[in-house]
Amino acid sequence: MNTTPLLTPTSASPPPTDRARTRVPRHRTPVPFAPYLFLLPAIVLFLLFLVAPIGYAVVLSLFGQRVPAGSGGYGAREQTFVGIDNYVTSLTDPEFVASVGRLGLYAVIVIPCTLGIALLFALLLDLPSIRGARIWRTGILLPYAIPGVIAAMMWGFLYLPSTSPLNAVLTTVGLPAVEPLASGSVIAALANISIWGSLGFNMVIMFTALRAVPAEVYEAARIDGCSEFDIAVRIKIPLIAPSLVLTSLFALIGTLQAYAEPTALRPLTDTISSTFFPLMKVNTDAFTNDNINGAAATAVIIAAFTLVASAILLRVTRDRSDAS
Amino acid sequence: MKRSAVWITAAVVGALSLGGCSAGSDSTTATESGPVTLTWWTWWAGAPGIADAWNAEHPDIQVKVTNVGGGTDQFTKLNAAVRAGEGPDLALAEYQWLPSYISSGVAADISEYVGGIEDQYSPAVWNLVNLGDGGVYGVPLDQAPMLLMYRADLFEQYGLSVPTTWDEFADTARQSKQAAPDAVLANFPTSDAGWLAGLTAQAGGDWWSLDDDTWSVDIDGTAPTKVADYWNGLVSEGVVSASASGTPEFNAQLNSGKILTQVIGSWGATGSSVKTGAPDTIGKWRIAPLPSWTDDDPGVGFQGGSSSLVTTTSKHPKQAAEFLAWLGSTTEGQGAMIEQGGNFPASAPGLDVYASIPQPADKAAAGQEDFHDILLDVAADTTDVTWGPNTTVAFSAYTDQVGKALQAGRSLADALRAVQRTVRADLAKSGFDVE
Repeated sequence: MNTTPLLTPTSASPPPTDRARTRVPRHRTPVPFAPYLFLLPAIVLFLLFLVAPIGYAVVLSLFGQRVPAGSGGYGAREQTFVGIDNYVTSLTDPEFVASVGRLGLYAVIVIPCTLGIALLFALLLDLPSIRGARIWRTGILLPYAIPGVIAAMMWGFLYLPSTSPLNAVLTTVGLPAVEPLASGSVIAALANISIWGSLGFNMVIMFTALRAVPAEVYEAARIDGCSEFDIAVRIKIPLIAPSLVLTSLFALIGTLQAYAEPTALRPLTDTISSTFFPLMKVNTDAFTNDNINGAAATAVIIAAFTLVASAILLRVTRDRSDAS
Repeated sequence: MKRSAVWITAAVVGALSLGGCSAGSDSTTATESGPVTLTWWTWWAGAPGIADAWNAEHPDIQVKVTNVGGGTDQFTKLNAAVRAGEGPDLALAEYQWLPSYISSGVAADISEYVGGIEDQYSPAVWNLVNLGDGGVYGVPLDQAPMLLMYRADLFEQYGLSVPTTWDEFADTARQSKQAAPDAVLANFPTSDAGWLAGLTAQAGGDWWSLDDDTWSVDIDGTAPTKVADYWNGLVSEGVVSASASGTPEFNAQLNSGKILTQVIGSWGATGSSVKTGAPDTIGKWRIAPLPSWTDDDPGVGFQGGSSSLVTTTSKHPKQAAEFLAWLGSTTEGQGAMIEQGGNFPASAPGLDVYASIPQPADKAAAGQEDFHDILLDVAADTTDVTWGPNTTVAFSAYTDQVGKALQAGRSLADALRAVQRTVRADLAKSGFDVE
C-alpha cells in the first residue's frame, strides 16, 4: 500500500499479494516520503495562510496597548502581556453581547427564508409542466451575480424615505410613507437584502441535485399514482438531503460572517451602529479605536463559535440522515 | 500530479507575493548632504498645489503628497504604517485626533524646531497642539470656530430674525415650525461628537481635562448635560430634526430648503459641503455668530480644524517641521493653502491674507458682504478645548449611543452617561491615571 499509493486510491482491501510481489521489484526502490512530498505544498500553504494567521491572532489577543506607569497625560502606549483580559472584556462588553443578539435575530430570519424559498423555487423549476424554466432560473440566479456592496447600496436607496420609489407612489395615493431602515425593521431590511442575494446560489445547488436524481424513480412513483406534491415531499426532498445540509452549512457560516451589507448601509442611516454585528465590532475595535488586541480576542471568539456551530449542524444532520 | 503542480505553482506565487510585500520602499532614506524628500499624507484636494508652491522655493526640501483617504481611513493607515516603520514624514491631523496620535506613538514632539511660531496663533488654537509639558505635536494649519449658517431667503420668507442667544434660537425654531410645518430650523447631527463637544466648550464644559498628569472625563457633567438637554428638548418638540448629517437623506432635505440653519464649524461656509451636498442652495446662506448662552459671552468652541504632525519615524523631523512652520505661520504658506483650498487659516498672517481675498462664487454664503468681518470676529473669540488621548473611542461610542438613545426614546443625557462610562473605562484600562 505505502509504495503504490497513487495506483490504488479507492481500494479498501490490499491488492492481491501476487500482484504486489511482482510489482515491487519491477519498480524503483520504495520512496516512503513521496506522499508527504506531494502533500507538502498544501501543508505549507495551510500552515502559512491559515494556521499562522490564526496563531498570530491568538498571540495578539493576549497582549494589550498600555501606557507605562508615570508617563503623564500624553504617554505613548506599549505592547504589554495582559493574559485573558481581552477575552473577559470582550465577553462582558454589552455592545458585543447586543451585537450577538442582533445577529441571532438576523440568522433566524435569513437562514430559514433563504433555504425555504430556494427549495421551493428549485422544486417548482423541476416540475415537468414548467415553462420557460431556463429564463426563470437565470432570473432567480441574477441577484447572486451582483456584488453584495452594490446590492446593499441599491436597496439602501430603495429604503430611504426621500429617495424610495415605493414611497413616491404611497404618498401620491395618500398612504403613509414606509421607512424600512427604522430601528424596528432594520434587521428585516438587512435580511431581505441577504435573502435576495443568496437565494439564486442556493436554488442552483438544490436544482442541480434534483437533476441528478434518475428519472426512473419519478416514473415509478407516477405509475404508483403519486401526485407531484407527494413526489416532491416524499422523494425529492429526502433524495437531495445532502445538498440541503451543504446549503445550510453555507448559509450558517455566511450569516455568522454578515458584514458587507450593514457596513455599506451604515452611511445612510444611524440605526446601524458601528458595532451592529460582531464582525463590525471587530472592525471598529481594530481600525477605529486602534485596539487591535481586543479585536483579535473578539475575532477568536467568533471563529470558535462558528466552528462549534458548524460541527453541531453537521453532527445533527448526520444523525438524522443515519436514522432515516 | 497535475494538482500538485498547481499547488507548487500556487506556493511559489504565494511566496513571491509575500516577498513583494515585505520589500516596501522607503522614500525617506536620503543622505544628509543631498536634497531631502518628505512625504506628506493629506486628504486636502489642494495639497499638491501647496507642495508645488513650497518645492519651487525650496530645492533642498522637496515635499511629496500622498492621499490615503480622510479622517478615520488615514488614522488607521497611519498608525499601522508608523508601527511598521514605513510611515510618511508628515501627516494631516484634525485637532481632536492629535492626542490619540501621541498615545499611539505616531506624533513626534517638534517643540525644539518650531519655537518661534507660537506668537502667530491665538492661545485657543495653539493649545490644541501644545500638549503635555511644553510638547508641541503639530503645527496648526486651519481652524474651524463654530458659527450659525442660515438661509437668508427663507428667513425673510417666513418672517424670522437671526437669533443671537440659544433662548432666541429655540423661539425661532418654534416660529419656523408655525410658518413652515414641513421644515425644521436645524438638524441635530447624531453622528458627530465633535459638534456637541464644540457646543459644550462654548457652555464652559470640557469633555476631558488634564490636571497634574491625571485625566478627568466629564462627558456627562453639568455643562454637557445642559447642552444635551437643550437640544433634546428641541428634538422632542419636533422643531429640530435628529439624523446623521452628510447622508443622502440629509442632503436632499438641505437642498430642498427643509433645514433652515446649520450650527457648524466654519468649514460649513468656507468648504465645499454645501456645493456637493446641496448645490441648489449656493449663495442663499448667510453666516452669523453662533448664538450664545448669555448675552455678554461671545466665546465659541471649535468643530474640527486641522494641524499637521511630524511622525516619530521621520528621518528628517527638522526639515519637516520647517515646512510646517512655513505652511502654518507665514503669509506665503497660509496664502498657498487659502489659494488652493479656501481653508480658514489658523494663524494671524493667514487671517490677514484671508481677509483680503473675495469670497468665491461657489461657496455657501457667496455674496455676503460682511462675510469676512463676521468670520474674523468669530475666530477672535474662540475658547480653549482639551481633547483626551482616546477621542476615537469617545467619538465612535457617541455615534452608537446617541443613535440608540434616540430610537429607544431615551434622553441624550442618558447616551452621554454611557459614553462617559466607555471613555473613562478605556482610559483607565490603557494605563492612564484617571480621576
